[in-house]
Amino acid sequence: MTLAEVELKQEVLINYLKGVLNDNSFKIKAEYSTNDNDKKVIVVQEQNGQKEVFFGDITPLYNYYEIVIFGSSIREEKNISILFGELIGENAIIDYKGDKWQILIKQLSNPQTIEYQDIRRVGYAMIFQTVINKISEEE
Amino acid sequence: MRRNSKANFFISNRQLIKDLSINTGTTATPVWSKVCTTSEVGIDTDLETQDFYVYCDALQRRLITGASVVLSGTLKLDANNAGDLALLGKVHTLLSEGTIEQFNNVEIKFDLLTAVENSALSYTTYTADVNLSLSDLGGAAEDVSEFSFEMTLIGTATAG
Repeated sequence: MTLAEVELKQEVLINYLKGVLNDNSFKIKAEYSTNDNDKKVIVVQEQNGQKEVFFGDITPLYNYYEIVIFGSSIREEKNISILFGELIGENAIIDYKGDKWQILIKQLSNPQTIEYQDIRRVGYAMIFQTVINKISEEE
Repeated sequence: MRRNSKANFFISNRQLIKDLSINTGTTATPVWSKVCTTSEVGIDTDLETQDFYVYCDALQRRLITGASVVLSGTLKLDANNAGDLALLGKVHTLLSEGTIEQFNNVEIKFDLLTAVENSALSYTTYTADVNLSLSDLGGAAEDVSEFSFEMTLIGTATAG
């Protein structure tokens, strides 16, 4: 695992969520790429969480992503979070930059409304417990 | 696409065994009703073993002499699901007619993961005769009704 690989996993998830939401009025991006000008934006950021460690040379299991939804109304934010919540149980196979990845969504937790004082927005947050993993590479 | 030896492809349980169905028709004209509302399914190979010792050797020998394959699970009751109601129907038959043959030689079908090719999972569909046991029918009043089942395979399953 390298730093580049950590960021790549997040990109794969962002790419997948764009497909699920299918709404061009929303931007989906990494939390550190957001700014004041983004009005309808969903930010994704990997967190640390409880892992399962293997007896073997495999990266410990589970990647946790905090997803914060900023929309034009609380209703819109909550509805999108419910839409994402229904992804639990999916084991999606994604093609991304020539490689195949899996996104296995195990559970979600901690849905809540949060207020960002500095960028003057109220968002709706939730945390996904997932397995995001490259399953094969282009030869 | 080559399969990278360092890449892991984790499977969820519902990709391991899927499409468990029971025959709600007849043996001649089967109607496979999926018991889609199952929330947990497990497959166990119960091994029968014989232990013994050889002369002057205290180390126990153990031989596997047989095995039974058991499918067990929990079903959330869906009144719109013909398969779920058929399972419940067997309890009705026991109550009203006092027979047990409806629990013996129940025909079921399920898919079990076999291989992966180009990141696509492939399955073998098995048709099997099982003896069925139901338990934990009912529970706390406000809970979604569920019950547990155990299906022990009688002989081999037919791959198809």
